[in-house]
Amino acid sequence: MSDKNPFQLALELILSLDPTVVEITVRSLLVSGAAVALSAVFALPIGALLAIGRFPGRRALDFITTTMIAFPAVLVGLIGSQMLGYNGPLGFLQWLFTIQGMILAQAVLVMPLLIAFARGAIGAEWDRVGEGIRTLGFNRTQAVWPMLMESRFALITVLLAGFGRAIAEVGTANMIGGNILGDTRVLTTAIMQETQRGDFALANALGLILLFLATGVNLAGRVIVNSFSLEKASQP
Amino acid sequence: MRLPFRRRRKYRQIRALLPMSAKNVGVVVRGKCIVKGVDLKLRSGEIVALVGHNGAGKSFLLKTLHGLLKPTTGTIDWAGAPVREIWRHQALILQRPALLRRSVAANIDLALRVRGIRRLDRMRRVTEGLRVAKLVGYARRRALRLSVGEQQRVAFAQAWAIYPEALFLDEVTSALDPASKLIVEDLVSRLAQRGVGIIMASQDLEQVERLASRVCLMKHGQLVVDMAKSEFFAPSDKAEVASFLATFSGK
Repeated sequence: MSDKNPFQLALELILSLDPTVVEITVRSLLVSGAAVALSAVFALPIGALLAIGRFPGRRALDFITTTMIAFPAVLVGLIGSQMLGYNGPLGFLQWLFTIQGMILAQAVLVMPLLIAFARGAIGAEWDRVGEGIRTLGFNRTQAVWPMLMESRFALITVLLAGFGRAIAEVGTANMIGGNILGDTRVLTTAIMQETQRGDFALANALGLILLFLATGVNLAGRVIVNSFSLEKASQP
Repeated sequence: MRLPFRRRRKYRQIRALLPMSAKNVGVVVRGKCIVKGVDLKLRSGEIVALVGHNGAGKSFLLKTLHGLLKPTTGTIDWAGAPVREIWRHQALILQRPALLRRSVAANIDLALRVRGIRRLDRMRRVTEGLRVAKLVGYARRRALRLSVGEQQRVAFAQAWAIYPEALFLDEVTSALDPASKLIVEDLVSRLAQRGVGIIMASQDLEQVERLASRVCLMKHGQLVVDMAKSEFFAPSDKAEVASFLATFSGK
C-alpha cells in the first residue's frame, strides 16, 4: 500500500495523463456535449416559441417545462431503460447500454432546463426589441430565428448550464449506460464504482476533474455574461 | 433626380395602396377602451400630425393603423389592397428605436430580408438608406453602441430602404438633440416629397407647424379635431383646439 494520500495519488494520475482517466474524461465530455447539442436543436426553438408565441396551451407547456427542471435523473433512467429495453417501444434501436442511449437519455434530462432557461433569456430580449422587430414586418413565428440570434450570448450560458447538469448527473448514465469499462463508463459512474471498490485515488482524480470541468463551465458562463452585460451597458 | 427604372417601377407599384382610410376604428385593451370611433384618411405625400396629451391614445392608434394591433371595431382600408401585402409597404418608427445586436447595415438589411428582397437589391438599398440618413461610414458599426439620435437615424434608414408607401412615426424626435432632430425632420420631409403618406404623433407643436399638412387632435381615445394646419394654428373658435393650444403655450 502506498504512503501517499488519495489526493496526491489523484494529482499524479491527472498530471501523468493516466490513460483510464483521459479516456473516461473524454467520453464524459463527448456524451454530455452531444446530449446538450441534440437537446438544444429542439429546446431552443421551443423556448423561443414559448417566449414569443401566442398559442393555446402555451402557459401549460411553460408550467410543465419549469416543473420538469427538477425531474430526477434516476426517473429518466428508469423510464429510459424501459423505453430502450428489448421489449420497449424503442427496443429496436438496441441503444440500451450504449453511448447513443446515454446521449438520448441525457438530452431528455436537460431538455426542460434548456427550454425554461432559453424561454427566460429570449423573453427578456423580446421585451426589449419585440415590438420593434414586429414593426419591421416579422410575425411571431418569423421572429424566432432573429430572436435566437439576438439572445445568442445568453443562450450560450443556457447551454453551459445544461452541460453542467448533464455531466454531473449519475442516474441516467448508470442506468442507461451501464458503466461498462472502456465503453460507457463516464466520470460520475466511474467515481461511484471506484468509491464502492475502495479505489479512492482514481475516484478522487475523477472527482477533481469533474470539479475542474464544473469550474471551467462556470468561468466560461461568467465571461460570456460579463461581455453580454458590457454590451447591454453601452445601450442608451 | 431621375430614379433608376426598377426603383420607379417599385414606387409606382406601392403607391397604389394609398389613400388609406380608417373608419370607426376602436381598440379595447383588457376591457378598457383606448381608441374610440376614429375616422381618418391618409393620402400620398401628406404629413398628418397626431397631437394630444399623454394617454390620449395616439400610440395605440398608430400601432393599429400600422397593423401591429388589431382593431376591436371598424375597418382600415388600403385602397382595396389585400391585408396580407400591406405590411411590406409601410413602417412604424417608435420613440425608442429597437435595434438588434448586430451591425447598422445588418439591421437595415433585416427589414429587407423579411420582405423577400434579393441580395443585390438589398445591398443597394442599404447603401441608399445609409446615405440619406447621413450614416455613411456607419455600416459596420454595432447598432447598439450608437447614440439615441444615431439609432433613430438607423431606424429611418430601415424605413427608407423598404420604400414605404405609408410611415407611422411615434414621437420619434422626443429624445433627440437639435442636430439629430433636424436630420430626422429633413428625412420626414423628403419621404413625403417622394409620395409617402406619413402620420406622426408629436408633442412638439413647432415641429408640427414646420412639417405637417394636416393636424388631428386626440382626446380620451377620440379624434376630436381633423383640420388643415393653417386652420389649426389660426385663432379658432373650436373649444378643443383653443384649450389644447392654451395648455401648450402655458396660458
